[in-house]
Amino acid sequence: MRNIIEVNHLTKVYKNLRAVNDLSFEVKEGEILGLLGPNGSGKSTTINCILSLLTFQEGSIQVFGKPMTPTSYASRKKMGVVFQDVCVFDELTVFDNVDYFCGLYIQNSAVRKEYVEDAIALVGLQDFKKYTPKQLSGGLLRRLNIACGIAHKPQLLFFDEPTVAVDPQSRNNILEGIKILRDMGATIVYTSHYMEEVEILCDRIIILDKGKILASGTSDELKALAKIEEKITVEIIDLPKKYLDKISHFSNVQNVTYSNQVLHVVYKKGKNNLVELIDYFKKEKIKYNKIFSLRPTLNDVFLELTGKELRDS
Amino acid sequence: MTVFKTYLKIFNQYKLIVILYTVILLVFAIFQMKNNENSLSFEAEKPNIYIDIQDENIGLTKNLVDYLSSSTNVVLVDDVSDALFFREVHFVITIPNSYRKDLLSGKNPSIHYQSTNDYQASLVQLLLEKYLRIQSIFLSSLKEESKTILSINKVLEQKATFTMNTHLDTYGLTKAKNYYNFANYAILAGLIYVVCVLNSVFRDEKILKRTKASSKNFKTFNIELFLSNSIFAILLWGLYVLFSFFLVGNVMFSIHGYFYIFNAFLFTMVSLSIAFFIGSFLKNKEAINGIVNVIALGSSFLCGAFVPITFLPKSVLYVVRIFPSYWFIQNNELLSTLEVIDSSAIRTLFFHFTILFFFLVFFLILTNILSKKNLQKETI
Repeated sequence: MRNIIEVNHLTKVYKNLRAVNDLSFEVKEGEILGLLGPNGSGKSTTINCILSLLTFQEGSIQVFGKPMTPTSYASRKKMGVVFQDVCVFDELTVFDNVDYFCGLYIQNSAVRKEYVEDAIALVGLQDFKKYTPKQLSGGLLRRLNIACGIAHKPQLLFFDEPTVAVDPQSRNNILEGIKILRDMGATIVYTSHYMEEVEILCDRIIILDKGKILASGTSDELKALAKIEEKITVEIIDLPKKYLDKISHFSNVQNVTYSNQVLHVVYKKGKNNLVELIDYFKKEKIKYNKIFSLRPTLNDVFLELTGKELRDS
Repeated sequence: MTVFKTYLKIFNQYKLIVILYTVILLVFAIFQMKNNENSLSFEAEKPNIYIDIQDENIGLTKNLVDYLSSSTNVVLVDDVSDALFFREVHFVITIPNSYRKDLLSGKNPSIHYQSTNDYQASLVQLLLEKYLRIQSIFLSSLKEESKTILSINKVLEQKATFTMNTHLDTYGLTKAKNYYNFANYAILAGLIYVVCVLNSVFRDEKILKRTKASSKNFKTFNIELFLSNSIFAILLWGLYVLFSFFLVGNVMFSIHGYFYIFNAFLFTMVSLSIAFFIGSFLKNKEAINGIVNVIALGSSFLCGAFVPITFLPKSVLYVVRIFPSYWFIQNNELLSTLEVIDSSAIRTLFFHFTILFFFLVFFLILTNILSKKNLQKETI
C-alpha cells in the first residue's frame, strides 16, 4: 500500500518550546493511524503542520506524494479535517453550515446536496437540519463539527480529539461514524488522549510525549513493550503483611501493592496466574469480595516508557 | 458562489440591524439637508431706530425723518441707554432744536447719534450720512427749502437696475451639495459598519482556520467576499441616489446631478475598499462602532461634510488631502458653483475622480497584501 502521508524529521519550535522534535512517520492508504499522547505532547501541532496551517523549522511533509504548502489546493481537495474546537457559523442552520464547508470543496450544487445529506445522516443529525448551533447540545455540536469536516468525502481525514467533552452516547455515535468512514476506504489520522478510543479504532498507534515518538506499532506490539502479562485486582477487607510477602514471592509476580482494601498483583508472564492466586486464597482461607484480571493497557506502555501515567500527564 | 450565498444568508440574519442603521443615516442626511435649507434663503430686515426730534417737525427736519422712517423701523423707547444695551434699537438720532432754522441760515448744525456699533447700526449710519451729504450739496446751491427738498428726494428715489444673466439654480445645487456632502458620512459609516460586522463572521479565527485548511483558493475566497460586499455597497449607493431624486429634485436630472451621482458611486467604491481593508484584520465586533466613529465621523468633520469648507482652517484643509473624503467633497463643492460644466471644470472633476480611483486601488492592494500575510500567518 502506498504512503498517503510522509513526515520526515519534522521539528516545530515555538519560541523556547520544542513542540515537535524530529518526528518521522508515514500513514499508509486506508489505515487509521492514532496519535496518542497527553495534552501538549505535539499531536495537534503535528496535524497543523501537515495541513500547512503552521510553518515548521526543519523536516519535510509530503501528502499524496507531493510536498504540502499553503497553496497545495489539489491535495487539500482530497483532505478533510475535524478540529478540536467546534468551527461552525452560529448564524447558519445545521444544513447550511455543512453545505458551506462542503461548498469550499465541491462546486456542483446537486452533488453537494447529496453529500451534505449523507454527512448529516452519518452523524445522526437528520432531525436537527434546521436547528442553529446555539440550539444544539455539546454532543450534537461535535457531531455537526464532524459533518462539516467530512461532507466532501475526502480520501484523507484528520480527527483532532473529536470526542473531547462529549457525552457517552455522542461519543459512541462519533466512533461508529469513523468506523464507517474507514470501511468506505478513507485514510484517517486520529489524535486523542483517550487510549481506549485509539485502541478500538486504530490500526497503528504512535505514542507521543514532549514532541517525540516514544513508541509506534499495532496495539499488541505496543502492549508487548509494557513487559507485563496481566494485572490482577482483588478487593480484600483485611490482608496481613505475611500474606502480601508470600504473594510477592510467587513466580512471575513483578509487583504487589495493597492499599485501601485493594490488592494489585502485576505479573510479568504466565498463563494461569488467576487460578494460582484463587487457589492460594482458598488454601489460606482469605476472604475476598471481587477478583478480576486485566491485560496490559496503553497506559501501562506509557508508564513503562515515561515512568508516569498517561492520564496524569 | 458558496461564499456569496452564505454571505446573503448571514446578511439575512443581520438585516434588521443593517436596515435600522441605513435608515437612521438616511434620516440624518435628510435632517442635515433640511437644516441647511434655512441658510439658502434670506429676508430683508430693517434696523430699529429711535429719533429724538427736539426741533419742529416740518420742512427739512420732517424730510429727514420721513426718509429714515422709509428705510428703518422707527420705534419709541423709554430709556435710550437701556434700549441700546438690550438691542431694542440699533441707532438713536437726536435732531437738535432749531436744526431746520440753522440749516436755512447757512449754518452747519450737527446731528448727534448713538449706536450699537453692529452691522445694523452701520447701515443706518450709511443712510444718514448719504442723506446729509446730498442735503448739504443742494442747500449750498439752491438755498430755498422747498426746492432743496424736491431735489434731495429726486436723487434719493433714483435706483440702479440690473439684470441676472445667470441661470444657475443655486438653491437646488446647494441642496444637492449638502445632501451629497453628508453622504460622505452616511456611506462611509454604513459600509464600514456592515462590512466589518459581516466580514468578522467569515474571519472568525475558527471559521478561517477551516477555510484555510480547505481547497478553496484563499485569493478567490477574498474576491468572492469583496464582490458580495460590493452588492451591499451598490444597494446603499442606489438607495442614497434614489432619495436624492425625491429630496433634491430637478438638479438631479441635469448634468450636475449625474456628476453628483457618479462622484458618490466612486466614493462608495473607495469606502467599500476601506471597509474591506479594515474588515480583513478586525476580529472584535465590539471595536466596530469605535472604528466607525474615528474614521467616518473624523474624516467627515475634518473634510467639511458637516460644516462649510470655508469655515475650516487652511492648515486642516491641507492635511486632510490624505483622506478620500476631501476629494469627494471638493467635487461636490465645485459642482454647486458651476453654471456650465466646461472642459476646465471637467478636467478638475476628473482629476479628483482619478485621485479617488487611486485610493480605491491603494486600499485593494493593501488588503491583498494583508490577506497574503493572513494566509501565511500561523493558525494554532
